[in-house]
Amino acid sequence: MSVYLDHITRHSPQGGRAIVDDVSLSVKDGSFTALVGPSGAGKTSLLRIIAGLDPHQRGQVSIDGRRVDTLGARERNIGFVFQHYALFAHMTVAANIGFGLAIRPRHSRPGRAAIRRRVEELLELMQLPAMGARYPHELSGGQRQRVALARALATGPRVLLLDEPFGALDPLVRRQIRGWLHNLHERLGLTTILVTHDRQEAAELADTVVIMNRGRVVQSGTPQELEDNPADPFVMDFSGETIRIAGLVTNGRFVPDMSDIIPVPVALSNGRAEILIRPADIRLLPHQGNAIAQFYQRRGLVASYKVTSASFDGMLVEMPADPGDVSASIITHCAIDISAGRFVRDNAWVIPGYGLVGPVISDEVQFLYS
Amino acid sequence: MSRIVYALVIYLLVTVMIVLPPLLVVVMALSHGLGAAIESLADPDALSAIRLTVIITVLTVCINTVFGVMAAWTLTHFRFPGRNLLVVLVELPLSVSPVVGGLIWLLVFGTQGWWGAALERWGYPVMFAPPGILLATLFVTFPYVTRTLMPMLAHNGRAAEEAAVLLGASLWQVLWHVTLPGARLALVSGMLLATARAMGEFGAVSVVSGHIPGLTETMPLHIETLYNGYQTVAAFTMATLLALMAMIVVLVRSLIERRLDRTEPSI
Repeated sequence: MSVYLDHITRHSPQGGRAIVDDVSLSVKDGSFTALVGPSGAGKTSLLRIIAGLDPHQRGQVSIDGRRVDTLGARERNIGFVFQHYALFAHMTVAANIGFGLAIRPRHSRPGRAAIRRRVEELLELMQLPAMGARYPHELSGGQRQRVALARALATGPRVLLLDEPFGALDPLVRRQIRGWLHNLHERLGLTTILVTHDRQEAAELADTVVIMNRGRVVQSGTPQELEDNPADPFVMDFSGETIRIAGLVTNGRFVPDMSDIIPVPVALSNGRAEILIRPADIRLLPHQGNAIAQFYQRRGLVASYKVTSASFDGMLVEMPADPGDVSASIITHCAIDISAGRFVRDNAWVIPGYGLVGPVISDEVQFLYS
Repeated sequence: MSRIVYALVIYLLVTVMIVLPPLLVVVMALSHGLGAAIESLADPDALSAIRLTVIITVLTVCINTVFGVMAAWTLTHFRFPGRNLLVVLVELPLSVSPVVGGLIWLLVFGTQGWWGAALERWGYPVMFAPPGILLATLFVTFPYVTRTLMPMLAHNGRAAEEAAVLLGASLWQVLWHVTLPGARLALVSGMLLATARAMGEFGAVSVVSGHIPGLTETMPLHIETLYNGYQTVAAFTMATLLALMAMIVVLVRSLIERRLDRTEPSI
């Protein structure tokens, strides 16, 4: 089912500040959408508004073309998974999962045997066989979260909402359950909205990423679109390691405040400006300055260096690693080329559509590998 | 070494202050033999006092459990103007002298009070009758269920209830299947505290009862009447029985509390 949000605004109960500020969003049927943003961005509030747990002051929520914000949370038939599981501690796992079916009014309630079958089916799907008789406190965090997911799926919801479902899990379990959730979505095709503050998690799971900040949607698109064309410096900052270099534009040349960074020609009026750049887009130019690059670490085919000079310290630079693993441990007398970065003035791009080229190995660096 | 000294001091204190008095009560009760003690309980006035105490206690605990759950649920789930004042007011009966609690009812329902004369004319006297005793006991035991339940509800949070609502549960189903079972040990604990207090209440009940033997005397009041009438054995036997009932309640409560610590990990 598709979800459509039309100019949703919610003010904090104390009045004043807008927690969700005029958000419009369209979630396609069967898609996996991630709401990402720093804490306080309003992503959980938005999720709770869709579910009907929190009221909103303006706007409409529609599911499958029908308005639902006139309905209570009880009637919307939405599956919701909470960050801290919110399992019923006094019920067994099976009773937890079957709860939504067992409390239905008599005329629409499945028989006891049917409920038991459905619970078994879900336990199987969640890879939790033979756990039905246990109590939540006897399970690990990852298992609890899967029980919570099974409970949310038991009633056949139209939409699945996940509120930081991996937040309380340790990194290894997190990764496992993430991959597993991805498969589950492929199998069930249920429209899913995930709230997370982890951009990597969002990029890995979702086909559409919606970046929020201060109650507003800043940008939405596929993870690749966000990486290629961040709408503003915030999106770029938020969606990956970003280095900011401040400087002054004089007569068509951007001169960084720090030494050992090569000035960049730019068609821009005189004044302060900034360049934002990913570590992988910075080039290291040997014999052109006084900076020292120290080998930091190698991950797969990428080697990273920390560059230090008289005016900056430990700037991260990434480059393709030498296949023979003989990357130099120290490169002296180098300068830094940031011409692949994006110009920022007054917190907005100054050259719209400024494309990036992939990391380039300069001839000067290449010879170092030999 | 010093640990042993501390322990000994505590033992001495507990023995003198807590163990000896009830023990003396039992000794006094049995001073004329077990037969005399049991015989004193068979007295019609004594039986009536026991019956009245049991009835009042059961009614009080039932009514205050319902009100207590409502109050605790409302106070933990909603933020509204005057909420903090209400929380303080709920605790008021704990700090106000029970005699004052009794006098309040006398003021409202007594013959000089607002409605007392009218109720009496219609044949429903409240003061110096069991309904008055019930009201007074309700007043002094009001805080217990609310105050033991509130921290537990606050601790459990709203997420489980919200999950239940999203799964289609009605308000009643949420309360009955999620909220109360989730706090059941705290609830029982509060009910037992209220029970112990209701059985032993003297001050408030004394003001509104009128001390009519066989009609409006609860066990504590009857003990006083017997004692003032120099019926030492009967007074102390009744006191022993009352103390025993209270001790059972406290014992059950401490057993439940131990379970609360052990088997109710938060999820």
